[in-house]
Amino acid sequence: MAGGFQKTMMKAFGATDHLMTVVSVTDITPGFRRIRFSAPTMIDGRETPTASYIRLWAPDPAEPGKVHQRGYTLVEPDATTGEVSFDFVLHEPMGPASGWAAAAKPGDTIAASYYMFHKFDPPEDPEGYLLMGDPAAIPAINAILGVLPPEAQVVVILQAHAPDDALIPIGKHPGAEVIWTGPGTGALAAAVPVRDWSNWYAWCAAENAAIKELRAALNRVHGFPLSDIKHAAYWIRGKAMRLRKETSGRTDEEAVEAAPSASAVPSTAAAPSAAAATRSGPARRPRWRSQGGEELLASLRWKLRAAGLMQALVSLMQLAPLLLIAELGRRLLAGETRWEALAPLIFWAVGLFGAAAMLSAGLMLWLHAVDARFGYTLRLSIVGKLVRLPLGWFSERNAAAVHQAVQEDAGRLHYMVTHAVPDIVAGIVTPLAVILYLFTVDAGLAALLFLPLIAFVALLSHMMRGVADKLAAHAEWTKRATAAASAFIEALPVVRVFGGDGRAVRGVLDGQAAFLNGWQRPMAGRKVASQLAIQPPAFLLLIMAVGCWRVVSGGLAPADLLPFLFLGTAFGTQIMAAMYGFVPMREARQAARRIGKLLEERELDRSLAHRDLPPGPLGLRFDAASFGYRPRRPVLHGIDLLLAPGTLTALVGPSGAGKSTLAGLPGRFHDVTSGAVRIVAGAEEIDIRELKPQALQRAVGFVFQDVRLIQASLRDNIALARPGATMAEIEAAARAAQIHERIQAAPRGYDSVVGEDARLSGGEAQRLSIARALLADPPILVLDEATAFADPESEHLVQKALSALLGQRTVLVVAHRLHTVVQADCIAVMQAGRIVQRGRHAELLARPGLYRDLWQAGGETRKAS
Amino acid sequence: MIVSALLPAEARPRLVPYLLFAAAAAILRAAAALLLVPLLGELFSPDPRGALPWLGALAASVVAGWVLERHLVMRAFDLGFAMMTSMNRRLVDHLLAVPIGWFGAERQSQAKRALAGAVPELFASTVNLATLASISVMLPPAIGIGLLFVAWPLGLAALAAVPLLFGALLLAGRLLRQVEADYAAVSEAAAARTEEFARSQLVLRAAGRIGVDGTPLGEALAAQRRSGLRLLWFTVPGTLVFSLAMQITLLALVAMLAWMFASGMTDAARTVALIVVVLRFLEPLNTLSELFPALEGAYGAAGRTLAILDVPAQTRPQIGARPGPPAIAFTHVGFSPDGLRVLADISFTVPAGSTTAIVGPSGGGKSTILSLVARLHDADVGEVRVCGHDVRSYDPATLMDQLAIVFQNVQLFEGGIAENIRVARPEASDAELHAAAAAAGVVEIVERLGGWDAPVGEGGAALSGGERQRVSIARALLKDAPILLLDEATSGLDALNEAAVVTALSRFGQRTVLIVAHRLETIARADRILFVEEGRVVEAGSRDELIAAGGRFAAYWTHRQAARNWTFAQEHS
Repeated sequence: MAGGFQKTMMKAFGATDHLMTVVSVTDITPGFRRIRFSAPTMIDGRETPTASYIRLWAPDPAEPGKVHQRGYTLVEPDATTGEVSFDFVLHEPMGPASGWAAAAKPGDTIAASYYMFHKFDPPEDPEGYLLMGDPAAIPAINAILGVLPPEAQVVVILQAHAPDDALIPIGKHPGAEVIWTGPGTGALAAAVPVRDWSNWYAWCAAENAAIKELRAALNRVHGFPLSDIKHAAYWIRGKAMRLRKETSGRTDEEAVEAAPSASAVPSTAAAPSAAAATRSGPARRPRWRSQGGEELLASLRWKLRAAGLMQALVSLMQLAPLLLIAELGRRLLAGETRWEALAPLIFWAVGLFGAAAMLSAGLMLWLHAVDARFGYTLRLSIVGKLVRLPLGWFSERNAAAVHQAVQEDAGRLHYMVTHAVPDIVAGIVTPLAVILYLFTVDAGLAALLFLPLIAFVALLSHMMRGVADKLAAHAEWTKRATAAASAFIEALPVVRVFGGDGRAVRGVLDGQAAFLNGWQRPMAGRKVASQLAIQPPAFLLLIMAVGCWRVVSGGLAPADLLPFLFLGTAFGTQIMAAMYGFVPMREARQAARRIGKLLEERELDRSLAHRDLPPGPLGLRFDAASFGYRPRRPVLHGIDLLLAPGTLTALVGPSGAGKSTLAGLPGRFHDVTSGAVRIVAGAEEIDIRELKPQALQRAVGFVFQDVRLIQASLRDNIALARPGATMAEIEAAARAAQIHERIQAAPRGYDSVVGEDARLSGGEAQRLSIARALLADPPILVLDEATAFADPESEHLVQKALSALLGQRTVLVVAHRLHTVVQADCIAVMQAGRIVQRGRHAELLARPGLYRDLWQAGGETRKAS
Repeated sequence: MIVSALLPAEARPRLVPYLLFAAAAAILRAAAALLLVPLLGELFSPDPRGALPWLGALAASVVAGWVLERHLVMRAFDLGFAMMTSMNRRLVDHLLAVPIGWFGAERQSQAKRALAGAVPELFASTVNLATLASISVMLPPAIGIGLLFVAWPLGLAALAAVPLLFGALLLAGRLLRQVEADYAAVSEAAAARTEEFARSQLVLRAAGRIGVDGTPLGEALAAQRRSGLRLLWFTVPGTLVFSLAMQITLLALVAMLAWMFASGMTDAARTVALIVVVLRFLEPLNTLSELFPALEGAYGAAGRTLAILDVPAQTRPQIGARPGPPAIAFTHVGFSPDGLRVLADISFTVPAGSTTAIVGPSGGGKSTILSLVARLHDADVGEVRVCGHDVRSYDPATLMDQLAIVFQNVQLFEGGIAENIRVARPEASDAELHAAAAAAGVVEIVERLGGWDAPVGEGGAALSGGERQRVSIARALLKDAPILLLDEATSGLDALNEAAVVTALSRFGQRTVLIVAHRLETIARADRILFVEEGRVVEAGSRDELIAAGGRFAAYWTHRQAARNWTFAQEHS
C-alpha cells in the first residue's frame, strides 16, 4: 500500500476518519478471519455501545484511489491499548473489504469512520429476542448475546454462505436456540419459525436484499411492527464496485436507521415460506405493546386529516391577496388608471383576508374542542387502566411512567392536536403553491429560485462532513455535563461539609465549553453563510440580477417580475419552517407510543373472581406459591405456609429475602406464577383469585410502612373503607388507635383536612392508618413491623394502637426487630425467596441456623447499653 | 438589561459595538430594499438599461450586508462564549456559597437545569439567534425612515405602523403564552391528582374505592376538560391578532399608495416599486414571529439562570477566625425560616471532649440545632459558637474542618462507594479508607454491590437507608474531625444493620459529640441530655438528674423503656 494513498485518502475524507494499523491476523475458521488493529484515535475511551460498528474504507482492488465502505462490528475494544478487532468473512467472490482482509498482514493500514448509530437498544422487557443474520453479522450477534440477561428467551437464525460458516463460534447464552439456514436471498425470511412472536424484538443484519425480504416477512407474516425490527444492511449484492460517495448516504439513511419509511419494504412478500405461513397462519393475531399508541391516535386520524385539508385551504386563501396585489401592480404598469378596473382586486384581497382569518379561527376552535375531548378520554382511560393493574405494579419506576404519561406525554399530544398539524400543512402548502404559481409566470426564473437552496445544501453538507464524530462527542459532553452537574448539586451538602470546591464539575463544564468552541467557532462562519443563502436578500438579489438581465435583453416582460418580488423572496425561509415542523410531530408519536404501552400493561386477571366471602373466622394458606417479576427469574420459590385462623405469623430474614413480596401476595399485589394463595374458612379453601375484588379487600387488610393519607378530612380518612360508618364508630376507632386526642387538638377536629390544617407526624399518620384498619375490621391482617419505629418518640402509642388492632385476627407480620415477635405462633425465617426455618421463638433459638445468627447479631445491640 | 447581566463585566463593553454593527447591517438591508425604487423605476421605463447601475448598487449593499452579518455572528459567538464560561464559573461559585438549607428537591433540579441545560442553551441562542433577531428588530424602522426621503407620507404611515406591529407581536405572544400557561396549570393539577391516585391505589382499593366519579380526581379531570373548552375563546385572538395586524398594515399601506397614485403624487412604476418596499418592510416581522418561541425560550433560560445568582449567599469573613478547643455554645439562638418559628431562645454548651444527646418528640427542632452548628442555615438571633468563635467568623472550609457530620437523610452521589467515602478526605490512603469502611460495616455492602467502584445509583438508590447511613458514618470516621454531629437514623434498619451502626458509632469515644439520639443506649451513654420540645430546651442535665426530677424526660424514658419490651401478641380471650 503506497504512502501516497493514505495521504490522499485522509485528505479526501476529512479529519474524522481514523487510520488503523494491523497488529495481528487470526483465522478463527477457514473462512472467518479476526484482525486486531491498533486504532488509538478511535478507541480513545469513548463509549462503544453493544454491537456498534464502524465504516471501513476498503481500497478498490482494480482502481487505485477508489474505496468502498463496509460496516464492521467492534470486537473487544480496549481503551488502554487503543486496540480493537474486526471479524472478516472470506468468501469467493470476494468483495473489496474481504479481499483486503485476505491479504492483510501486520503493519498494513486502512481507514475507518466511526458511527454510533447502531446501538443495540431493545424496548424494555420484550418477550424474547429474535436475532438474525449472515456470517458478517455474527460478531454483532455475539456482542448482543453477551449483554442479554441470562433468563431471556433468544432465537438466533444464521445463514451459512459456505459449509465452513457453521464452524464460526457463536456466543454462549443459556436461553438461546440457534437455527442455521442455507444461502439465498429469501432463506433467512423463510427460516423464521411460525409461532406467536407477540412482544418479541427482532434484530437482523445481512445483505441488503435479504434484509428487505426478511423485514417484509417479519412484518406481514409474523406480525412484527416495523418499529420492533432493528435492521442493518452490511453489504449489497451485485454492487461491489461502489464508490464511497455513492454509498455513504444511501446505506446509512435507507438501511441503517431504525424507522425507515414504509416504501423501503417491497410491495410483494416474495419469500416462499411467507405464503405457507399465511396458509397455516398463527392461531391468534399477535400483539405488540409498542402498538398501543397507534390505536390511541386512530380515533384522531380523520379529524386531523380534515384539519389538514382546511389548513391547506386557509394557507391558499392567505396567499391569494398577494397574487391580487401583484396583479394590481401589473395593471398599473399596463397604464390602467380606472378605479373600476382596480377596485375589484382590492375588494377581493380584503375579502379573502377576512375569510381566511375567520376560517383559521374556526379551525382553531374546532381543534381545541377535539383536543379537549380527546384529552379527557385519554386521561380517563389512563385512570381506568390504573385501577385494573395489580397493586404490585405501582413501584417507584412505574410511578415515573405514570408521571411521564399524564404530565409530559399528554401535553405533547395536546400540542400535536392543536398546533403541529396546521403548522406542518401550512409549512408545506405555502411554498409549494408559491413555486407552482411562479412556474406558470416564468419557468426559467422560477427554477432559479432553487439555486440558493442548492447553495444552502452544499454549504451545509460541507459543514456536515465529519459531523457524525463531532455529534457523538457533543452528545458525550452533554451527557457528562449533565451528570457532573447532577453529581455536584446532589453532593453539595457533602461537598460543602467536606470542604470541596466543585473542581470536578468545573473541569467538565470547561471541557464542554472548550469543545463547543473548538467545534462551533470554525463552523459559525460557514453556518451563517448557509443561512444567508436562503434569507430574503439573497433571493432579492438573484431575482433582480437575473430579472434585469432578462428584461434588458428582452426575454421577460417587466411586469412578470412582480410576482417574484412579491412571493419569491421568502421562499427559502418557508421551506426551512416546513422542515422544522416535523419535530413536535415525531415527539407526539413517541408520546402516544409510551402512553399506548402503559395502556397495554398486563392487568390483574379478574375473570375468575366470582365468589363471596364465607362467614366465620378466616385463615390463609400459601400453597407452593412461586412468584417472579420477570419470567424465569423467581423471587419466591414454592412457599408453603399456613396461617391458621386467629394465629400470629412473623416473617423474618435479611433484607432482600422476599418478605415484603410474600406479604403482598394475599392482597393480589401480584398473582403467583405457580401455586396458589388460599383463604381458609373452616374446611373450605378458596383461591384468592376466585374472590370478588370487594370480598378480598374485606378479607385482607394491610397496614404498611408507607402510609398514604388522602387529601380529605381526617374523618373521611378513617372512614375510607366504610364511608357509612357513624361518628361514634369513627371516634371509637380513633380512640383505640391513640389518635383521638391528637385529632381533637387539630383546628377543626375531625373535619380538619390533611395537607391543609392537619399536618400529621409520621407516628400520627401511622396511628390514623391503624384507626382506618380498625374500622375496616378485616379478619386477616398483614402488617409491616417497621411501622412501629418510624417515629421512636411516639412508638409506645403506635404499639398500643397495634395491640388494639391485632385483636383476634389472623396476622402476618413482616418483622425487622426479632424481639417484637418472640410471642408469635409461628416464625418463618426467609432467605433468598425460600422459607429456610420455621417454628416458635424458643425452638428456633435452640438450634443453630439463620434465626439464631440474626438473634445474636441483634442481641449485641442491647448488650452494648 | 438582561443580556448585560448575563455577560461578565469584561465582556460588557463589547455589547455596544455589537449593536452598532447590527444597526449598520439593518441599514444595509434597508438600503437594498429602498434601492428597488429607482431600480424598478428604470426597469419599467422604456429604456430598462438605466437600471443596471442601480442593480450594481443593490448587489453592493447585499454583499456588504453579508460580510457584515458574518462578522456580527463571529462577534456574537465571542459574546456567547464569554457568557458561557463566566456563567459556569459564577454559578458554581455561587452554589457553593448558598446556604445548604436553600436546596429542596425542587431547587436542586432548578440548579441542575440551570447548570447543565440553561447555560449551553443560552450560548446556542446567542450564536444562532441574536444577530438575526437584532437585525430584524431594527430593519422595519430603518426602512420606514428611509421611506421618508422617498415618499414621505408612506414613510410616516410605515413608522406609525411599527409600534402597532411590534405591539401585536408581543400581545399575540403574551396571549398565547397565557393560554398555554393556564392550560398547563390545569393539566398539571389533573396530572398531580392522577399521580396521587396511582400512589394511593393500595389505600383506595383496600377501601373498595375503585371508580373516579365524585372523587377529587374525577373533579380535576372534568375541570381540565371544562377549562380546555373555556380557553378556546382566548386562543383565537392569540392566533389572529398578529396576522391580522400584518394584513391590515399591508392593505392600509397599499391603499395609501393607491391614493397617492390616484392623486398624482407617484407614477405607476414608482407605485409598484413602493409596494415591493412595503413587503420588504413587513418581512422581518414574519421572521421575528418565527423566532419568537426560541427567543422566549432563551429569555426564560436567562431568567432561570439569573434567579439562581439572585439567591442570597452566606456571608464570609475577610479573615477567618482560628479554631480553639472543640466546644459548642448556643446563646439565645432563634431561627424562624419563612416566618415559621422552629427554634426559640436556645442556650446550651457542649464542653470539649463531652457527649451531649438531644432528645425529644419529632418536629421539635432537634435536627435544626445540628444544622445551625454546621452553618447549613444561619440563625436569625443569638449566636452559635464552635471552637470558641461565632460560626459566621470562620472561613467555611475552616469550620467544616472541625466537624464530622452524619445526618439523617444521607444523600450519596452517583459513583462508587469508595469515591463516596473518599470525599471526606481525598488524600486518605486506601488502607485508611478500608479501615473506616470496615469499622462502619460498609464492607458487606461493597461485597453485595460487587466492588468498591460499583455504582450506588442516583442518590444512592442501590442502597437501603441504613446502608447509606453507614457510608456516611464511614465518611465521618475517615475525616477524623474534633467534633462529631450525628443525627441517628430512625428508618427501618434491620437487626444486622443496627448492630453494625452501633458498633461503628461507639468508636467516636474521645471526641466532642452532639447527637440527636433516639436509641436508649445512646441516650444512656451521653454525659448530658437536652430535652427539646417545640423549639425550646425544656430540660437539661444528666440522665439520672432528669429521671430524678420526674419531668418530661422522665416520662419519655419510661415510655421508651416500655416500648422496647413490647411484642406483637393477640388478645386471647
